[in-house]
Amino acid sequence: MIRAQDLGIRFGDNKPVLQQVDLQIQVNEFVSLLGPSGCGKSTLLRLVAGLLDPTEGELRVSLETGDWKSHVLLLGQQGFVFQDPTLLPWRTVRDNIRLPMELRGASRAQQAEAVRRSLELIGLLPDDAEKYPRMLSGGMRMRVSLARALVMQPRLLLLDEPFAALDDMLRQQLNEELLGIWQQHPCTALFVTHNVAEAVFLSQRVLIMGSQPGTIVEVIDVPFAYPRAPGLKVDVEFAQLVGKVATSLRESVA
Amino acid sequence: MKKWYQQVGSVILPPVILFGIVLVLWHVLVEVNEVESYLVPLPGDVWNAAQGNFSQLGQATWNTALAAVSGFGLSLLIGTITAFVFSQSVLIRRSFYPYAIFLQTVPIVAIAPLVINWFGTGLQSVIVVTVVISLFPIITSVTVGLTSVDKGLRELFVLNQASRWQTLLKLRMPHAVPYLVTGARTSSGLAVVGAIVGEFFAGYGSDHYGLGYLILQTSAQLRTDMLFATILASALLGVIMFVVVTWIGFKVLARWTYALEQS
Repeated sequence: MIRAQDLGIRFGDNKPVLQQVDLQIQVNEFVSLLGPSGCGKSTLLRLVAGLLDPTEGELRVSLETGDWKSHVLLLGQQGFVFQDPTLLPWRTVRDNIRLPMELRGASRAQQAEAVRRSLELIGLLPDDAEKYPRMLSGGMRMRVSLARALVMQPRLLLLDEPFAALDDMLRQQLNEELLGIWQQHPCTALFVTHNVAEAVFLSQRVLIMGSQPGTIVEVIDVPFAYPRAPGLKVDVEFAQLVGKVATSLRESVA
Repeated sequence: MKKWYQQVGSVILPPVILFGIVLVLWHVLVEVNEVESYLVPLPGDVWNAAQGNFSQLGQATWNTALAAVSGFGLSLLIGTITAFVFSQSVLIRRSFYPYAIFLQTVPIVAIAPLVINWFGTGLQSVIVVTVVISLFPIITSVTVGLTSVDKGLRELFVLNQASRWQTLLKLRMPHAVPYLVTGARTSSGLAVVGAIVGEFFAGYGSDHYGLGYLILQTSAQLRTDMLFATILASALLGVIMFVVVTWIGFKVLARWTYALEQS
């Protein structure tokens, strides 16, 4: 689980980007961070990932064992999905996906097995595995990026507006695939987005952020049970909740 | 898909036609204006001079090519190693970069006598001059290649706890390959210039000489037709080196340099 208290960060002498962030995320919970652009939600995700260090407050992470660490990197159990596919252009899909295992010194056999499982999870054919990223569509590249994040079977999955650059149809499809994977193989997921419907559809809780300085202003529970089907999106209650979250988001900006 | 001969035609044909037009214009202008042959010879005279002295010209071109290729190879090696050192820290880069620029700005004519003092006349001095002239583009382009890796990719390696060595080997080095190729293309042309300038100052002697020496000699003897042939041989050598480097860059290293092909 992830626990943050009075968390803040500032760069140099500038105004703080994040201030007094309190946060608690349970093991295997799916939580969305929703906020306007520039509110610091990506910065918060990078703090949790261990890419940045807080200048104020405290961040603690642990696995089921209750072994608390100050830094996510120390757990070595996180998968991170960037806004862009962030693939190495000189490597094939297969070699991109196995990179995290290769860097950790896993054996060839382990790598092959993990890549096979990951490809299957995101529905890529073995033929696609030998292609280079430039031969793939934007949606396929994002799938490869997701497969790479999943290859280590992470306990913590961090996603930084992963499908924001895709068209709406594709984004919805990938959200459904992501949710399907998470339902099969639960892990703690923190999903950054500025899309209200996406946040409500995917997560158990939505944390709404305000800006200048960025902080969490409201937490909204999403009561719908899992497994969730795409049909949920036409449900009246779903629409009402999306409306409520959207109102809160607007108020957070005002 | 275009057939291969159509592709060759569209790439080779335009410059060949232009070459033909220039030859005709050259011939006509020289004849009409009655230009003295020691100033501008006729294209046919240049051709005859090249044919008549074919073995001499070939031998000189070979000697110069040897110096140019050796110097170019050394530049690749020294430049890449220097760039690796530069890429290790901003402080190193800031401290040494002004002196690397020195290589670029110092008039080679000014330091060539010094090179001969240190290394004597002969091939080794010609190679040193070649390296001095062709080194800079390699250092700058490879340094940029090693240090300009996209932030997201660097974060990916941090998140996966890659060591400094792994990051260099699996991220920075492959990322630098297209930059190396770009630098090498510039450098290959400069290496020929370097070898010829080097030979101006430190020839190998009258029984074993390169294009630089031949240029000085034919110019002094007012054998302008042969001088023209020598100049053309120098240009041809430069073009061949450029083409070979470009071919290796795009075909052999295609995995890393495919993006360059669009430019």
